[in-house]
Amino acid sequence: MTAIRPAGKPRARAHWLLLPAAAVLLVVFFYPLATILWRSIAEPEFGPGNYLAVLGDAVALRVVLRTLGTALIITAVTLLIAYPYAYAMTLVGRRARGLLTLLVLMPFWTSLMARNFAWYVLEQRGGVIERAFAAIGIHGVTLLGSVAGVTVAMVQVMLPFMVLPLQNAMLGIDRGLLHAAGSLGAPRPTAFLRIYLPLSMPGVLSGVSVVFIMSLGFYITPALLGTPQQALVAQVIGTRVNDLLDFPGAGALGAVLLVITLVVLALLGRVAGPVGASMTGGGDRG
Amino acid sequence: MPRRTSTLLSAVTILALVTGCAVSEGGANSLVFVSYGHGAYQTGQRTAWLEPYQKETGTTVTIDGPTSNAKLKAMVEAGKVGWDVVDTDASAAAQACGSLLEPVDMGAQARDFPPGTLTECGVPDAFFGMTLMYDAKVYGEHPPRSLADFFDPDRFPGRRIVYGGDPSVGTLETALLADGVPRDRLYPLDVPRALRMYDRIRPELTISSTYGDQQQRMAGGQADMALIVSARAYSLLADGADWKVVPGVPIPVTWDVLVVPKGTRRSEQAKQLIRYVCTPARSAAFAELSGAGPANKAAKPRFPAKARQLDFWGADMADRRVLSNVRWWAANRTWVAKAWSDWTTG
Repeated sequence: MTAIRPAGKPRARAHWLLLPAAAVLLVVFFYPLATILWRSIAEPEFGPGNYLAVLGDAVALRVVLRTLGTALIITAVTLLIAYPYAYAMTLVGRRARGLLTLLVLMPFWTSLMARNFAWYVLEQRGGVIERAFAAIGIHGVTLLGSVAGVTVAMVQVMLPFMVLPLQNAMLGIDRGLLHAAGSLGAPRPTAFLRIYLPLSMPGVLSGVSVVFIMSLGFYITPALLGTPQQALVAQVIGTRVNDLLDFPGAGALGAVLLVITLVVLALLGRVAGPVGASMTGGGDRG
Repeated sequence: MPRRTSTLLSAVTILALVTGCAVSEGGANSLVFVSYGHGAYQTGQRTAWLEPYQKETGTTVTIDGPTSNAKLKAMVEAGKVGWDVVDTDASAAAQACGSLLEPVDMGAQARDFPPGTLTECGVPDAFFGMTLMYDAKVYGEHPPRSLADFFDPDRFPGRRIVYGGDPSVGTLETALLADGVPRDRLYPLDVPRALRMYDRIRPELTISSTYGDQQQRMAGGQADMALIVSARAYSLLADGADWKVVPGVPIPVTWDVLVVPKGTRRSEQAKQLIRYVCTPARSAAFAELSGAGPANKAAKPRFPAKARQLDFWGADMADRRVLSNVRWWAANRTWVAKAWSDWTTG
């Protein structure tokens, strides 16, 4: 991806403003990361053994695929909910937009743990969700301990990360273009598909990449609402560290996840081309 | 140029100071004692062991937790050991003896423990029986009566729950005993056979990653039948949950040990504390508070009626308890833990 260059000549002096951030990253991110990567090739003996073990481990691969699939579903569901929501935000008046922004940001300000436990209570056996389904004749819907339960909770966590870039991109779209398309004979769906949707793609891509990448590394929500039988890769890394004490093996699995993340980011960057400049990489949360 | 360099240097220095301060060492007359959670277990250890020890010796004992074998390993490897006495599981201690843990010489006290339970680095401090329980509201007139019933979802439908963080607490032993393996021929464990037993109940099985989670889910009606360690069963019953213990079935017995991490500068004081808590009086006091079995054979804890059914040291329980083979576990723990984790996440 290309970084945004301010207009005119890049000023070398301005780079020093990055120094505090660089120093922090160096100490609290790159140094530990380098240590983890080093241990993954240096222990128990030097070589690619840990990586070969991960790649030859049917369970690890299944978990990686499950994680990719879950992240994909979460991203798709989030996009389906967020797109019309963000679109509506651009149509309504200033006060209503403020309210809609507040609604989407509210869960964002709530502690992740509080939200997880709230979902735990809602999703548990005999909980609100199960009783609501039972009331309409569908019995035995216990979301707790299932991929569906994890997906529902994670979609809620991810919504702001999708809505905000979408709304940002949509606010920049000149609605006059839609009227122009209409006056040239395009029916409204065509005008939307040919004009509006392509113009909103930068927002879609940046939302999709943030949500997908964050979903890949999520730990607490799947650990609490899911089950080991449906473990995602972060949980398996946790198990390797905490229960198996296999630090180098966990490092290798972490490195595989990192590579997948970078590949996804690079692919999205290619798709996005120059518009990808506005994309930001997501970090692990929770 | 010098200004730029000094900016970088000061930033790094500040960070180094901040991170360096994270490990507080305390004085020579203090100890850090590490154990699990905030439940009856750790409260029992504080009341029965640490507070009297503090009073008698003047040593300040700070409690940290929960125990994490991973954190212990990271501390010892990094040479920054902030823990002096750690409560951990027996097989992990036997496995890490010499590499991460110091030997603890118990002298004449070595004879006080049940045979085969004291190892070079691990001093038993609490015993647990893997207990089969069921929700009385669910099974009513037709309760499970044998370990095999736990693995029979046709005759006994319902949600099962086990603790999944560590398979060495009797989880696999229970499955093999349920499948008819005689008590004296359990070891070496036939792990694939035990996992095949769990295959039968896989769709009905909830796996908790902590004991606290397991106990909470049981109390909250999220499970109908459970394999649970006796100390947690004791807490559950003490809280008034409507769960019952299946009587008369074999009970795999495992235990926790106290260990001293390599590299602590207070290892002598740490060992002194360990020898103190293993005396009959301290051992009994802790057992009464926590519901765990006492480590000292001479300890005579007085349990309330509710807890007596969980007392696997009782005279009538001799033919039912099956002590874990800690040496087999120490030698095989790595691959068995991996096989169990693969089964649970697969």
